Amino acid sequence: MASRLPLSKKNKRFILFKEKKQRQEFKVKVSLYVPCIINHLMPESAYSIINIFKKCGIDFSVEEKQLCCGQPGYNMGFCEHSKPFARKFIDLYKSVDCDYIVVPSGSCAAMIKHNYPKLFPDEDLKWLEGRVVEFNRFIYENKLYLKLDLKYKGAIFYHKSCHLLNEMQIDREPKEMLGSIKGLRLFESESHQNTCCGFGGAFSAAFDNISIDIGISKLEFVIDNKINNIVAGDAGCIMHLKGVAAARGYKLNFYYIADFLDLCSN
Amino acid sequence: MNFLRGGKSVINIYDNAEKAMANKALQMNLKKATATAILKRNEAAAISETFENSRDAAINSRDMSIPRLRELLDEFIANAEKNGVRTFVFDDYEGVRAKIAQIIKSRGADFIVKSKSMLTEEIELNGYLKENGIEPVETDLGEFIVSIAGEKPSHLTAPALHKSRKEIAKLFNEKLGMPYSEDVEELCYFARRYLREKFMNAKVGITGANFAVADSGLVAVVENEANARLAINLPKTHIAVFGVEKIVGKLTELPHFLNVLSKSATGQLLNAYTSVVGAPDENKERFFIIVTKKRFEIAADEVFSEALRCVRCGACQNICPVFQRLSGHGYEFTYAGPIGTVLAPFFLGYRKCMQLIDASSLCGFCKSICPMKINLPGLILEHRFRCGADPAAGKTLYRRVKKIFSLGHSLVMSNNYLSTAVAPLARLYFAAARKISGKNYIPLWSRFSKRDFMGLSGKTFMERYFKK
Repeated sequence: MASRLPLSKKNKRFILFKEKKQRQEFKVKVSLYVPCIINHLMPESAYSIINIFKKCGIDFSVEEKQLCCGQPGYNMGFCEHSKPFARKFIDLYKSVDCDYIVVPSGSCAAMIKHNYPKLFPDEDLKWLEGRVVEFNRFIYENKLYLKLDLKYKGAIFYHKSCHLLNEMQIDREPKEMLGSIKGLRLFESESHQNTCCGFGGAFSAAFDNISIDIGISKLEFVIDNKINNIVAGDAGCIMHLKGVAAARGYKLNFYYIADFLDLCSN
Repeated sequence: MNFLRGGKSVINIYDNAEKAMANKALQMNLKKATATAILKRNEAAAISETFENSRDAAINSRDMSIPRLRELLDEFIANAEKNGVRTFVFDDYEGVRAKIAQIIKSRGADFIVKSKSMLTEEIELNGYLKENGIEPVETDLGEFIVSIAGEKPSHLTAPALHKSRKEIAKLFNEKLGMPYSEDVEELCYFARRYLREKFMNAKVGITGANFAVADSGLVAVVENEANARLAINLPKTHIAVFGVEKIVGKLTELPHFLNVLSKSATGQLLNAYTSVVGAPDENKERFFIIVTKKRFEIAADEVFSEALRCVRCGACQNICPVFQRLSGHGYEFTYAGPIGTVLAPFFLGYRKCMQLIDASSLCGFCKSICPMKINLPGLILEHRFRCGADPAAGKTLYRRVKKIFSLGHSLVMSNNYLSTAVAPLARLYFAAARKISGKNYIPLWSRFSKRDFMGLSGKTFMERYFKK
């Protein structure tokens, strides 16, 4: 390795300036959007996100009037029924003073970013594209995870949640964040074994048999690899997989990715 | 529950899945075969430097040709006729079947050899020929196995995917009188000898076509077993039957398709044999029969026209978690898997496909693996939108129940006051459910306790954060 060259004064000043500028750039104002599953079933996960924000010194706020993103109706084929949600989201966040709206769910983020403009084709909704950002991408692109001093002893299985992966194209982000955790052994299914967990919203009720069987395969794959901890990128996956695991008596721990990052940063 | 699932006149995916999942051997075969196929495909795509380029070029070619499909059809016919090939175009299945039967009969054949054709499955040619006293002999091993078992293919490129070695050994023993053996080589050799004899004596050979080239009137058939080569070259008469969507504009575009297809279908860098046929040899004759049924309708559709990009590689089927459980037969349509789900409503109507279009978690893996980058989950979703407006399907109980759920969710959850009132009510319900069943039971979702519900949190995040 080449020895480090002594820095000239000019360079030093430049680097200090760059660091200062970077520090300034972290001064972003963020509004946290809380998806229904996190709101109703896993409020701790929202607090994990808030903890992470606090540790990184991010100025955040939560809108009390926020609602569901309207995905259930949309995916069942009734886009008319998802319009009121979209309308209210747009009207609410249009006036909120923030740089980013952080959405901690791949499917909600995809709904807002990709489908809202389709629901209101006549409106100019380009600001959604710039302001709505998925949680993983937000933490990764601003390099906030490096500030958390992440440590963990043990192995986890990372389940790539489908909408995060296939709709938002967020693949590298969670993997690198988890990979940066000291002492962690990270497992994931190879691309040919990688499947959906089987949740799929209304699909999980209408085709409970297929849905549960997909979930069982997923869990068996984890158990075959002798891992007890599953980290998933979407709360819906956890809700479904936890249910299947509980009914079959599998002793597994499930973490939403923010929960896990928060856990590792202590 | 059946009346809630749409009654008898729909393709009952739920029950089909139940049946398929009870068959443990089938599930094993399916999972093993599909996982291997995807593994091979990914390896081939990873080592190939040309795959992504060809993918874009092929998509571009299809996007250029789909809007002017009618023009290309005329161009193809003109060039094929110039080569001395007789061409026929039909919009209905009855017409195609009758024409093929008439050609076969006029050549004095009592059996035909057939290779590489999904379209003949679509038009149900085999049954029709049998009714007319002509024996159709499937020559591709997978199709051969399926046909002697009296079944239908369950996969685009691996038609006997659902059958294990043991089942095949038993089948050959019972139906063809072969001494029982589970040795793959022996089984293959037996089939080969049986089929070679048929090839040598056949007067008419029928094949499908993977691509048809408009600017030169040629047809390309892609395969690994060389049966299409024999079916094209040995009999005096060759008939190629295919859908109009197979037409590619220029011959120079064809290599991109071949590159993409072989890697996506079987993970081979290139398939073993590709026959490109045009003018018939001396003393021989060739027919191209083109089916246009529903194709122009799909091509004219703003949203669904991209479905015609499909090259029938079967990659979307391999990666689909629903297909991996349901198997091809569960779809009750010639084309299974995600692409089948997209095409089926055009051919069968929304009323029949109500369940089919709902049987997807929209996970999107099919979209990412599709060599032609067809937005399959998006198209399935579009079917769900259109299904509501369909007069036959929109008013069924099945759709109405869904609509009530969706509308209820919309009315309650999109209202600030009602949505905050939901949580305490739901907590009351779950407290009662726990008292009765000891679990957070949700009807429909819990499936007789095969899946538990994790339960609601004591207080929602909003209640805690804003201290209500």
